[in-house]
Amino acid sequence: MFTIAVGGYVLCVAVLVAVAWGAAHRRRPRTPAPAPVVASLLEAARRRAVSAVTLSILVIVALFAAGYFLDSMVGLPVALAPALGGAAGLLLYAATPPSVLRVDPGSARAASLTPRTPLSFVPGWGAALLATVAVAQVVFLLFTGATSSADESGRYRAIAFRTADSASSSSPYAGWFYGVPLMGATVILVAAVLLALWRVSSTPALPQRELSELDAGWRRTTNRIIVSVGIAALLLQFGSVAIPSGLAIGNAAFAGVPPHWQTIGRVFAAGGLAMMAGSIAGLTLAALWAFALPDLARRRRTANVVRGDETAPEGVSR
Amino acid sequence: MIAFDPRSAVVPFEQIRGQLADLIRAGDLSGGQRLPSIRQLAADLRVAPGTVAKAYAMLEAEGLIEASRTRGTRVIEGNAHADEIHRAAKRYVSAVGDLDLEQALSAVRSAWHDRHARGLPRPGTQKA
Repeated sequence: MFTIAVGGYVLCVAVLVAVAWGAAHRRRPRTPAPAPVVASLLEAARRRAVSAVTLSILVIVALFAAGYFLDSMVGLPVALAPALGGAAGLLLYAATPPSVLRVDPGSARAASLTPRTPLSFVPGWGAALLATVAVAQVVFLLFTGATSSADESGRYRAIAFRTADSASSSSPYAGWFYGVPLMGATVILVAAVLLALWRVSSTPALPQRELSELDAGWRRTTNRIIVSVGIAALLLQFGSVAIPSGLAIGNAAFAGVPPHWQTIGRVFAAGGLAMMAGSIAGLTLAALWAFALPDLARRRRTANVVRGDETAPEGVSR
Repeated sequence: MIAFDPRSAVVPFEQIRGQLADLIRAGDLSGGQRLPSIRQLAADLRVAPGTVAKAYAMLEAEGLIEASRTRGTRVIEGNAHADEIHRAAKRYVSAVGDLDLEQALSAVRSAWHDRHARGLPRPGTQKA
């Protein structure tokens, strides 16, 4: 069951990426070829982004597999896999030195007077969604922690209901046992997102006035990829604890338990499924944007240039 | 944007200082506007951080910008020229024909010294 779930998740992402990539290729308009130095710079940016997304997926799968074999940890590696996987990919991105266009010592250059911060080119929807999911998850973990009970080993990973004449409990339930490490992992993931965004903002700009739109284009696209990896990892983490928690409530709640508990259990399970679907969509989009980074970075710019081959700006090299 | 030309006879920090001062006085950089950090501008222009730091220090000494650890480097309010100065400058530029910038400035300097020699007040000063 577990192997099917992990395999299905990875397969979903892979199939969606392949289908969307193929469809995008067929419909892609002919765009002017960039100058070789610019093309190689964009290719390097694509490699870094693809590496980050790939490492994220690999670490998630590896930790899922580790959790499957480490029975004694009762699924903790699986719960932590999404955030740690996402953080690993983003830290790889932040640690990889960016390619910078070098300028001939005697050639003129230009620079924008707008200060760049890690949030300068982050899409508004991305920042809002990331913050919303992070806060919602913390609220969920605090709620499940406060309502959790100790299992037979004394770990707060069960939900229990008691009435005067009967009692019932079920696990795994998020509780403090999973909740505290998950909150720590969330902090690590958000820090990794900010670190990767900082790496983008601290990369020197392309040194020519005519390349300023391209410069903004690669920053926007890269930040979209970074934020999408962060959101996908958070949604996967949230979903993978919300579903079992919802099912545990459903299993433990018997006839004498207030009926709103059944509703809460169903909301957790259904919300968890929706978050898993959202996570697949987020990771798919991140992978697609990473593969298409050179085209996306040039998209706005190509609308303003005359069709035909571009020439390299004077005095730049990689 | 500002430009930097290593082949120019003007020293690097003066190129940066001069352009920023012009943009502030022309009102293109408004009061309170934040400027890029020394590190960012130096990296983008591919110059040493000390070059930008020197330009910023001179602008600060001229009262055009202020630097703060918490608020960053910002343009100080009230340094833009009056509209009539802008209009007069545009009229002059359109009247100079084929002169280059240095020749046009030379004509302004000459008129300036002439006015000073005749004992007229310098523009911007009031006699009591």
